[in-house]
Amino acid sequence: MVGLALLIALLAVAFFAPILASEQPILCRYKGRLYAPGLVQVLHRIPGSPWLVSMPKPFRFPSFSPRREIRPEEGDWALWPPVRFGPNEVDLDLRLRGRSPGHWLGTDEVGRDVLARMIHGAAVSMQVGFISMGIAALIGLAVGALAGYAGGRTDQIISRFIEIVMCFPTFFLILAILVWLKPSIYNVMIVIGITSWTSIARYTRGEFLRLRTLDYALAARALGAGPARIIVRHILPNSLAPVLVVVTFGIASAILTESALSWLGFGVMPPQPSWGNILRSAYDNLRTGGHMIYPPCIAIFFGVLCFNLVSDALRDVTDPRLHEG
Amino acid sequence: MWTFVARRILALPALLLVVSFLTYFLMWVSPGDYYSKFAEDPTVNKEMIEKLRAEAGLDRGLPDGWAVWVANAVQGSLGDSLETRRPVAGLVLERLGSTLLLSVAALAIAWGAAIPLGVLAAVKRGKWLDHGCGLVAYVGLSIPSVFFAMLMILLAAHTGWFPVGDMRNVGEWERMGLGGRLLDLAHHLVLPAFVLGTISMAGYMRQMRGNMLECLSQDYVRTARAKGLAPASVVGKHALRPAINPIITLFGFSLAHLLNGSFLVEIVMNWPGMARLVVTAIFQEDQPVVMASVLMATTLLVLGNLIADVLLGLADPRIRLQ
Repeated sequence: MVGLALLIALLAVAFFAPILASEQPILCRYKGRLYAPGLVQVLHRIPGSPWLVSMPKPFRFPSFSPRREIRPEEGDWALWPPVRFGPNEVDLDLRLRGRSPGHWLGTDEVGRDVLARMIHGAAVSMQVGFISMGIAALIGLAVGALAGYAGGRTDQIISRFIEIVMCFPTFFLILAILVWLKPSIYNVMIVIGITSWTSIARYTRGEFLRLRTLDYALAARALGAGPARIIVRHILPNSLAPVLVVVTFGIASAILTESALSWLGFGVMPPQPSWGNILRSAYDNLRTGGHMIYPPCIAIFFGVLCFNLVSDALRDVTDPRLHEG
Repeated sequence: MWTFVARRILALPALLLVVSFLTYFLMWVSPGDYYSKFAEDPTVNKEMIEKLRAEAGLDRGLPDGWAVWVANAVQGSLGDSLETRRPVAGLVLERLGSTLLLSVAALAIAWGAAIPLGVLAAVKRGKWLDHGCGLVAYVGLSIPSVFFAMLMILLAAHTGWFPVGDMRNVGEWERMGLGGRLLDLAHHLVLPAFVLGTISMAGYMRQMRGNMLECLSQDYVRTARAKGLAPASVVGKHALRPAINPIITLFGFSLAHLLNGSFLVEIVMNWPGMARLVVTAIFQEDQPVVMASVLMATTLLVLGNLIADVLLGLADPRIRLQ
């Protein structure tokens, strides 16, 4: 339960990042008109919404920059986010400052607010975790289902192939691919996805081998259902539970891998914020940037921890053997 | 089982071929090569660069260049590093030695702590010791290794108890006797091995506790207790032996993942192992070094898996008979 609560909190922070930390107000009245830049940014995180809700016209209000003096007109008001800095707002006068009332977690080497970058970095980590494991799950389910359902020669060939892929030194492979594809958040997702599907494929294969001999699968076949229908409608839904556990563990390790890659300079590139590259700027400025070590580490720690806790709970629920004792 | 082992060993060359082709392909498609950075320098002669490229075999196309590399590798020549002009084999072996030293020390710490703690946690199930071990396990599984290593560096810098970074005291090394060198090496080894060992301990401990719990609930353990055997003997002999079987496989896999695991810790703690060699080689596109180290890593991985299978076969007769 603790894990689930942590996970929901983390997802909420990631989703509502634009109204938690931004230089723009959530909602404001400016020269007699109503604007909602923060809300619209949150709305735009939902795929497809940019076509329905467009950005308000003067989207950036220069006079709303918190360091400039704001001269409101009669009747103007604004609802500000709790952290009044954007993740990429540079302030060269305030470089590598420690904690202060203005910047709660201090600033980094070009004067960006660390807390704002942490909040927006949460979104990056969650995206990388979910999308990369989504890719891995797609590949793993497809390969595993094919091997497990077909059996025989096909199964042998595919199993050998999975073993070969497992023998690749993953971290080296990821680094080598990231030299070719330029480091960016999308490439990191793809690379983690295409290197971590093997355990999902093996679990799926095992489940399929077991389930395809059960009565309901045979009954479906006797009724004349084709292989595609049996796989997708009958066996797949029943084989998902153990796979889900593996995927949740995978998300935890994908978050760790992403932060490690970003820390090495092969992952999410600055100025885009990520927990890994905040930690990198702490490491590069160890003497004066010590205040930047703990926030990203604690965030990565709890991010990984909540996925581990959730997957442990999932395994307890889905594994019947554990209920006996 | 031996046919199985033989099949695995016979499959190794094919696997190495596939992996080397893929690595060569990735180096080939990635933009530029080692000499690209010199081409931008107007003081460097263009023909000279072309000559060097041809010498390194970088001007060859994809299948040819790879075929030449394979032909050379089969004859035992992995080429020279483009950066240091030293034979790659020596370079990689030297770094591999220090990585293995670190990893083996870390493994010793991890297993030395994981098995007794796992057994204790299972025996004292539900007591504070068990909860404490569970907490340690969760922390170990979730803590970013970069962070842990950085914390230890800060600790070393604050207290001065341990040297920060590197494997030996470079200034004094030449003047030390053998005993002094060993002591110095051990002193440098403590922190990185502790970091790596603690992180990998977590998973093993959980596994050990789970196995132990399963074995302790078996009927024969109850029988052993009922006939009045000492608790230490029940736990140590009747429950521990079957519980340790799955752990043996895990041990083999941990051998296989030695290189992957120590990667980040080596870089943060400035340990002169494979990780730094590979990262700089990839950044500089020093092709022979990248090829050789990926090959080395794959071989280790396969051998580790093989050792795991053999160990399990030796420990569990049911598998041997299959």
